[in-house]
Amino acid sequence: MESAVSVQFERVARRFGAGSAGELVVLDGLDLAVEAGSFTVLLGPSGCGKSTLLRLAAGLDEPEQGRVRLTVDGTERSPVGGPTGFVFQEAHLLPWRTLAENVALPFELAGRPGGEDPARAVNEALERVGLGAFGARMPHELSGGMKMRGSLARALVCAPRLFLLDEPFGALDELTRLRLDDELRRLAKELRMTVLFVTHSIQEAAYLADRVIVFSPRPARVVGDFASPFAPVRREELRFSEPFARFVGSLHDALVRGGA
Amino acid sequence: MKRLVALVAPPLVALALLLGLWEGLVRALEVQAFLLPPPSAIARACVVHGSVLASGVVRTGTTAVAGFLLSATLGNAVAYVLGSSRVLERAFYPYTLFLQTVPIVTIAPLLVLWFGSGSTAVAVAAFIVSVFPVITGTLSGMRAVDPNLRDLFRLYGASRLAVLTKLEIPAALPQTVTGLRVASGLAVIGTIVGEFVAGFADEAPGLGIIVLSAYRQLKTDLLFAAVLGSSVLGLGLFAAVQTLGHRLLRRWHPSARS
Repeated sequence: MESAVSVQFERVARRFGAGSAGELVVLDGLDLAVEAGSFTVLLGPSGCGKSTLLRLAAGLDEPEQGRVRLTVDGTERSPVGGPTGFVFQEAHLLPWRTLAENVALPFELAGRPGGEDPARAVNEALERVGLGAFGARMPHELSGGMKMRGSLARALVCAPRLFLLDEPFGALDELTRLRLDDELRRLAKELRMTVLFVTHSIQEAAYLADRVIVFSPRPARVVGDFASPFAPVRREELRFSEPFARFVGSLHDALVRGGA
Repeated sequence: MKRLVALVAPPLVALALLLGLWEGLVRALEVQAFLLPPPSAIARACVVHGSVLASGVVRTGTTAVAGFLLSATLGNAVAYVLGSSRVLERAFYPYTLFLQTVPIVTIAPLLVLWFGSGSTAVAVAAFIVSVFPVITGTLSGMRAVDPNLRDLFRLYGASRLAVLTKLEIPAALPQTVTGLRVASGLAVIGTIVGEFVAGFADEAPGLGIIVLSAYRQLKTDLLFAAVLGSSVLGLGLFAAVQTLGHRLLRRWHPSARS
């Protein structure tokens, strides 16, 4: 298996609507290094610029100053076209394609890496998210949670080494979200991906992360950097334990001190 | 079955009542037949001039379908090209408005000059009248594609062609179908207006020519019969496009479900 990717943001600056009255400075010389294979959660108030960080890492946006470096085993590679998975706030499946055809989309667009059999990879990805029996369904025949799982399968199908998620489960009901959190954490460790997960939910950050980075409101500054105090394998009970409540408390304090 | 009756019965009863009222009033007031013939006279004209009307429907129908197909292919092709670049859209879209605003009767003599009198000029008239909704429909559909989906395609390094064929064209399909539905009605109108100016050379007269000659001879019953024929034609083309659109969208779009 190819090694995971590490991500370095170096003095990254990005503003929107430059020069106009409504200019937004979203990032103003931010430094951040994300080590390979870690599950890192970016926690911050809405609109603070954490989504912009993800888009920069995916190569969907360019910084005005500074740079974003993706490194695999010490060699640099470009973000676009590489094996990066991206999951949006909503599932965004193409409504005119079946679930399986949706999951196959990255193959069609990017070509087949390593001569892999697309049909098998699609099936595997669907199995991984528990949708093995639903490949022939159209998106409108699936529940919100299933659509999101399909979206995960589509992002996983190209065996990404870097997995970027932008508040992916925010629109789902609470129980479905907790379940998907568990599955995502398990998948990330199984597939040894580097994960950058954006959320504004403190509980979700505390439960999922190996490392939580807390941001101030716009322009985003790092106001807290926490290694998770918990063992790598997380269980449901953790959410109701005292250490968990304490960790949530310290993340909360960092957010408040940061000005959120 | 019951639901079908409930659906079909009210308009049929209303139609029968209206026709009865029309027939009764025309007879009671002794309205002259060249002003307003009674429905029975129109029905008789339909039978007496049956073969002329039938060949008129075929002639006009063929030309309208040709004009409509021109609109569907060229209109969508133009939309795909303009939709692929903001600069091209800004440069050329304003001129497509010309097609929407120019009165076809002012263009028709030019068409006769260029294509000669006959069904080619008439089909081109039908095309000019009906192409604009196809262009705007498809173009607005392409512009409305979810930016997140565009990002997804970019992330996987999709080519411009792949974005067009796998994202923009299917995403715009509901609006394309709407445009085509509007165009189908306009193509019939454009054909008949085109025939008024350029349809005399055809071996069999189209409905537009039948309307003109019936009017000149004050055969108002035949005139009504021809009007009836052209609305049947328009409905037929509309229904065909509707069915096709429904088939294309049935699997995924809410407008074609249930």
